[in-house]
Amino acid sequence: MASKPLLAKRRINYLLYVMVSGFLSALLPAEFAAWFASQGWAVRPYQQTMLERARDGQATLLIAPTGAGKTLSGFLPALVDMQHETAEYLHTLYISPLKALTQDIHRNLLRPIEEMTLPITVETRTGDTPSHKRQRQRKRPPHILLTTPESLMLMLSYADAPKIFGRLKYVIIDEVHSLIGNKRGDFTTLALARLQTLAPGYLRVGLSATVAKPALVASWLGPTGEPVGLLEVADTAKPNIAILQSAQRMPFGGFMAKYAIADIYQTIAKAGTTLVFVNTRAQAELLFQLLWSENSQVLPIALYHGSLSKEQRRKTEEMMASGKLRAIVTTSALELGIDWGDVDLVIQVGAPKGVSRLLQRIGRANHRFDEASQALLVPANRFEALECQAAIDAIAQGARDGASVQSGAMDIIPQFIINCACSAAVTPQELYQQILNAAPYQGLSEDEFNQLWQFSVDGGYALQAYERYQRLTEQDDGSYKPASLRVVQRHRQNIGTIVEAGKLKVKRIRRGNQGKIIGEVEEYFAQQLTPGDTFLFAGEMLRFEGIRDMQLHARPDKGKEPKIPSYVGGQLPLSTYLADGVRRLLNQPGHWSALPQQVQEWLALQQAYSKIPAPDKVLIEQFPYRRAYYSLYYTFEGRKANQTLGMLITRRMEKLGLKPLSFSVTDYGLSVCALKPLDESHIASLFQPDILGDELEDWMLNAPMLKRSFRQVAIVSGLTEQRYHSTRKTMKQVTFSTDLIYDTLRQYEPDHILLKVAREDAERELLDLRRLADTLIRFVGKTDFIDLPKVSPMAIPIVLDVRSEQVKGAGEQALLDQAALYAEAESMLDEVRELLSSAQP
Amino acid sequence: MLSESQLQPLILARQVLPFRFGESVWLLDHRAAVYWPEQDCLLIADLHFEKGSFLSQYASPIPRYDSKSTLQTIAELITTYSPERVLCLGDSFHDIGAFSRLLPEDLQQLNTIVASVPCWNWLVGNHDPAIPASIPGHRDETLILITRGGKQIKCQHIPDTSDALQIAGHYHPKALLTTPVRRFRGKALVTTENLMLLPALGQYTGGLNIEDGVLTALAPKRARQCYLLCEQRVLALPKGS
Repeated sequence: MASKPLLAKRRINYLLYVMVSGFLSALLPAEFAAWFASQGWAVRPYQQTMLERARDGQATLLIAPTGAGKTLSGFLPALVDMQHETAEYLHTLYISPLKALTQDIHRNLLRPIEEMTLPITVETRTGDTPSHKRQRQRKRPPHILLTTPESLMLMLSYADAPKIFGRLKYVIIDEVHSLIGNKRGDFTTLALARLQTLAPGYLRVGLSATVAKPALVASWLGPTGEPVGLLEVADTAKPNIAILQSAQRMPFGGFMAKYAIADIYQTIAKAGTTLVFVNTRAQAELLFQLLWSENSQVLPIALYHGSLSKEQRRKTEEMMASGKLRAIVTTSALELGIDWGDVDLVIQVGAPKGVSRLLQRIGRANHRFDEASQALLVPANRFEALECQAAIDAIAQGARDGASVQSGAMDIIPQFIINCACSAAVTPQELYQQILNAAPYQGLSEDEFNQLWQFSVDGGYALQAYERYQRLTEQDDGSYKPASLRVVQRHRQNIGTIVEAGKLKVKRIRRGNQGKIIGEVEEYFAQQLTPGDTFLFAGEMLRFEGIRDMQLHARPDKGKEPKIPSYVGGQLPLSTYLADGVRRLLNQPGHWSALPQQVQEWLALQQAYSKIPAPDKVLIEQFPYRRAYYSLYYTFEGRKANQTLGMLITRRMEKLGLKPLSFSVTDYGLSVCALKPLDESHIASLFQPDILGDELEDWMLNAPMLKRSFRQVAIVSGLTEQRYHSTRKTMKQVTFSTDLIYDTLRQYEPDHILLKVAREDAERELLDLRRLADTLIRFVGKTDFIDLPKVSPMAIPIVLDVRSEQVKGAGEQALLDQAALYAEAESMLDEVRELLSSAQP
Repeated sequence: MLSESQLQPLILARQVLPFRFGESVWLLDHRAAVYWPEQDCLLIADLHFEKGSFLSQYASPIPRYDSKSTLQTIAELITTYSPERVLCLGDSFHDIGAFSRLLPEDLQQLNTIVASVPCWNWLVGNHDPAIPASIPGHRDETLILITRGGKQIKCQHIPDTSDALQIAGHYHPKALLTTPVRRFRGKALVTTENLMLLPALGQYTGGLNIEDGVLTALAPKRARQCYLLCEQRVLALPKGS
């Protein structure tokens, strides 16, 4: 809440508005006013407005910077409303995108409730809630329930949902900005639409960090796409952000920022409490290890990320809250609104990836809204230094990334249909109307809905020989309900939109088979380990022993060189705004002086050896490297568009006999590796808009990416289960690759709705087709092709990005032939020939 | 029997790979089948007909085209090799009720395929202890093949622990090959000096990784040679993997 003003001028303003708000707060009961006063706080004007809007029954989106007391403001009208509540019913629902946030809010809400002795009960309800408590919550819900979208959807699937939610008055949706334009957000709007039918009068209150387009978010939140009322609180203090100036050599590539460990450690030692943000869990583990190896003063430095076990995370949260820690190394897991008390400094290690994301992270420092936050950016390589500077420039200019609203993901619809049917019998007509009330789904055509409905009922296949395999069965009155209890159970076990890679629990073995579960790793990571391999996990070195009963067994080890966990899900997309910022920065050599000295030298070297990408042209470099030829396309169009370009260009290269092997993308460019070199004439046919016509269709149908997106669609839509979610023994038998289903559907039912959904998903999530088309048209014939004898300075960070996509074709075959054992096969072939010819009549 | 000129392009395209087992030469087809030129015999395993409809009994709405797809693969294999004999190494039907769920047209195609081959042997498996009487072909628990050199090869669904030369199915081996450039993943054939484990042919068959303890116990890494079927090709895995 309000802080102690430090400057005299601020103090006068503060006193003024305490007086003014005193007059305004007629809506605030005396007990509340007294409690505010006892905290040394005054009701802020916007908190007053929230009370007025609630009184007038007006839904509101509150946009405020971090630390402005946003969350309490959201709850204030509800608390006031329940001041003299005597009945037991669910009055207010709070939806948070993060489980951890519900715990935090719970703690923060209990204080005013206890101190004012309000007759209000507050409970959390997440995936971690024990089942006896869930049962009890269904019978006797608390006044305020704090939950996540998935848990809410699960509650909506119960037969007693109308009773639980029937008297609901407020729904508070926190961190709304993180729900715009993604499946989880679409899912949330459907849950809100369903609530609208159970409690038609409830009021929506959205809480959001600062966004580029507030009006879009307000429409998203509206019950029928009509925007809710906006309430914006201005950012008062700009953060102080600096890029680390290290005496060490900043590397060209890599993401680990090893060079800066001593500097980071010194900075932590000087500050009070520091949050160190990284972009992936692997980076977090490594950075944590490196910091401890540097930790001569034995500072309490902790590790926190989403793969660690619940107990471990709780422990760290508690230590932080009680001020026992000097630093936490963390990922986006701590990005959203958890209040960590007094954090003095935020260090971002690695590229910031987005202006809003960086601001959100920086906002963790000094959780008070009228004081400037302190932040230090540590780029891991020289390209990242450009990105850091571009982000600093953007924040100084008050710019934000624009999240765009997209039409809702269709694979969630079947899940929603089954969910509603689990609660009570439904008709397609009523559900279609409810779905249309969710803002992202207003464009859903009746035809599409009908196909999704039919899929939900019986799979929607043309060939339906046996009626008894239906998921939903029609009643005499024309409504539908689940065909069996099994349908209901299966659905409830799989609710959600985040498709996770198969995971294994990590058991830390002490002796024999005894040990403790300390977290989870992705299945594919476990598969690449062989017994004896070491890796970093939960802040220590472990030695892999084996996989038993879906658990990865490992023992503490003292080895030196670990196989670092290569977790997926760590790649944050670079916002287009920031990518453009980097391009601008490159073309203003006058601004380079703000960059670290080494980065300036790197750019000067690029200028001398090759070229700096011009604003009106696409720079294409080629050079030999490791027995192959690399071509670099500096598009600055973001990872997705570059990925698509890579797919299409390599296909055409295959046709031209250039034997492409693989390509890798960054947000800035595309790097293609091939066995044959390019020349100027190739460029004209490679960087061509017609690539979208000839190669695209061909590729879309056969690309592994479409299978990848089908896998997600299959799970979200309920076609197959999430792997290993259930402990049932039959699971192993039931699960097989969705690729097989994809192939089967393609062959026998190419028009099936799920294939269509998978394709739309791929175009939307993976391709960024529109942006690519724009680029190809804009730059046709405007390319700078440079043939270099060696890798250019600017290409190094891109070439070193090892996460490359492979190309199927002749080039790959050539490599395989070297690797595999075919010589012996050749000799056996003679024997076969002999057998065959001797048998011929 | 296929002709030499038919085989040549298949081998060049890596769709078929010769390998040695029990002093004989065999051809591994990327469609998860093994052809034995010596006796003009095609071996297939774990067809799992009607697994799709079995799962839909458990509320799974997956498309039920798996039997059609599996049948088509078998028909194509028979067109390629026109074998004198086909040997099915068990688990041809996913469950006891599978036969009754086969669509009439699929059943008809199955009968047509079986009838087109002079000799068809069904070995029974744990999923299909009995093959319905209306389907043509011989039924056996085990079958002994004899090589030109006079060696006996025992064929059955699940291999026994003896040292005899054996060919079996049941385990649905699959493998992952990691090269510096990319990863390949697919069904696999596992061979040792005296054991050959066939990949599953059925469209909806999951698999057991060759790294799994069950398979390394049967075919120890040092003693085995595995082959990966992936993207319409057969890849020999490095020895000892």
